[in-house]
Amino acid sequence: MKNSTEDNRSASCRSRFQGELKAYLDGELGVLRKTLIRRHVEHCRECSGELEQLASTSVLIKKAHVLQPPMHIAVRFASEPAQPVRVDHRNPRLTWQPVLVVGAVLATAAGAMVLVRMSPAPMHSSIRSGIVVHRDRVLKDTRVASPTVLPLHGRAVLLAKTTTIRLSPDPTSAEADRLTREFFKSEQGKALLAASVNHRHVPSQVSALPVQVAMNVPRTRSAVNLLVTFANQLGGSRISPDSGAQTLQRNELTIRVPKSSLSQLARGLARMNAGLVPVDLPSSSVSAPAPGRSARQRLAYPVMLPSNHIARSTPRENVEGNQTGKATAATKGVPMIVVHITFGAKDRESHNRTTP
Amino acid sequence: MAIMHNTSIILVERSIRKRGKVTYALVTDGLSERVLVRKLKQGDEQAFAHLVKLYETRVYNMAYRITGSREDAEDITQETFLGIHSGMTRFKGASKLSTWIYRIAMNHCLEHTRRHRPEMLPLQDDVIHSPSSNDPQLSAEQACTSDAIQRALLGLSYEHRQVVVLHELQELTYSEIADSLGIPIGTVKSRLFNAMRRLKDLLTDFASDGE
Repeated sequence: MKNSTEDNRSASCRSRFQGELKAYLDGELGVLRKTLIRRHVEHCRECSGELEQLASTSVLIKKAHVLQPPMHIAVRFASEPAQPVRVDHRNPRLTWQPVLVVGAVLATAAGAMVLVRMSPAPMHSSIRSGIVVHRDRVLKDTRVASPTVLPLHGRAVLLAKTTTIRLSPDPTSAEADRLTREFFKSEQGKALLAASVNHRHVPSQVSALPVQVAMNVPRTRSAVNLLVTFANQLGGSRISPDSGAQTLQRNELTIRVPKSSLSQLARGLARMNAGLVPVDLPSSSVSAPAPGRSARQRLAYPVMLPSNHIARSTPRENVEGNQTGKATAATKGVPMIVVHITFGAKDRESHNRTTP
Repeated sequence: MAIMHNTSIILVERSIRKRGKVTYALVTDGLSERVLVRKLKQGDEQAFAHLVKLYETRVYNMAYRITGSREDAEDITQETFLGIHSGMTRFKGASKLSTWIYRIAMNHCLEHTRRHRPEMLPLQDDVIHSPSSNDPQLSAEQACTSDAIQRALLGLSYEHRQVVVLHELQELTYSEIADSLGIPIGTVKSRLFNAMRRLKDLLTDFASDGE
């Protein structure tokens, strides 16, 4: 008889109280409701069990790691807020410190559509507008001036003061071409592209341009292998030089990839600059670096791409130049973009080992 | 059995009391919220940098737990702070600054979820980036737990994930969640209860899979 009563009570409390158990647990109920539920829970096995499970789930979920955003960026942002940048039009040499932007990108223009007009930057004015380097919205009619590169969470953000960037009414005109060239040679343009390529977002307007990327990884054979394999994986290929040895001597590598893969390429390059492999691989397929190795040193280790990640060739073939300059059948007819890659500090040990 | 029930109730009540002591107020390192808001509205860049410092970890973690991707979380964090930067003049002070920030961040999360980019490679950032791989003190078990929690969170519907992340991980009150999401408190209550039940099932599934 008693069991029957308890069962009835359990069945009825499902609608009466159970929905409020979490609020009761969190102390979010009024005094009256809280008292009612407490009295009920004392006698209801189902509700007390439910309450216990809710509490344990709540405790468990709080064990999730608190992840730290990229700290170096945050610290820099906090300590060096918005310093205006002096722009010297006669000398295109960079005058600002591209701390965030590890690989500077220089683009020459061919058909993009930007008109840039600069005016002197008031050093004291506050930030009024800005543009975010973003793949699908960049270089819109935005007031941008005296570009201040604010590194915020892995992306350079150009905050503007006085200069105006606006879209050319006729993007195909020679004048637009010329202005675009000028823009991308300017510090703003370099910062914009560097930020975009190094942080995987590629402005769509830029995707038709040849792009030059300066990597900060050393020019090891494994890094070259990795880049070429990555390009193949994206449906692209190596263009020059013809062999891995030449790459190591010349410190450059030219590849081409489908335009549609540019954002993936940029993202991969950004990952390589951070000392990681360019694509997300199962951890078992990547040789683990020894403890204490720096991020830069990780790439000196052989990186094994699983076979299903390699679309058309092996790294060895690429280094030997068997596919140089030839688009694969699968990529014929696909709009391609040329990417010139230079490497960072010379890795003497690796260089001596691989070249006589 | 009755003793066990009583024990659990006592534990729960202790838990409530313990939670009651936690202050969820904005910690501004000496700057009151009002002063901070005033400086932000005046375009004080130091104040903005201060705001970023205060909230970036929270926003970043919230975005990561909701999207499951570090890169998306970085995007959202950046866009949130840019939104704050450009929209500070629109902040009227009707809600807490933190609530307003979470609202902006949530809008960006929703936007990112809607225009999820299929051409992007799936990220398993935790494999490479997880704190466990940098911090030798963290055990593999902790990493597994964290991973299971993240997978369970991603198994929830978007609405449920929102309330769980805001309440359980960001420790917002029900009214703050209601303000941030623009929904009634009653909806917060019911969503949270259902989400936690679903989460419990998902975590149980992961635990049984792991055995």
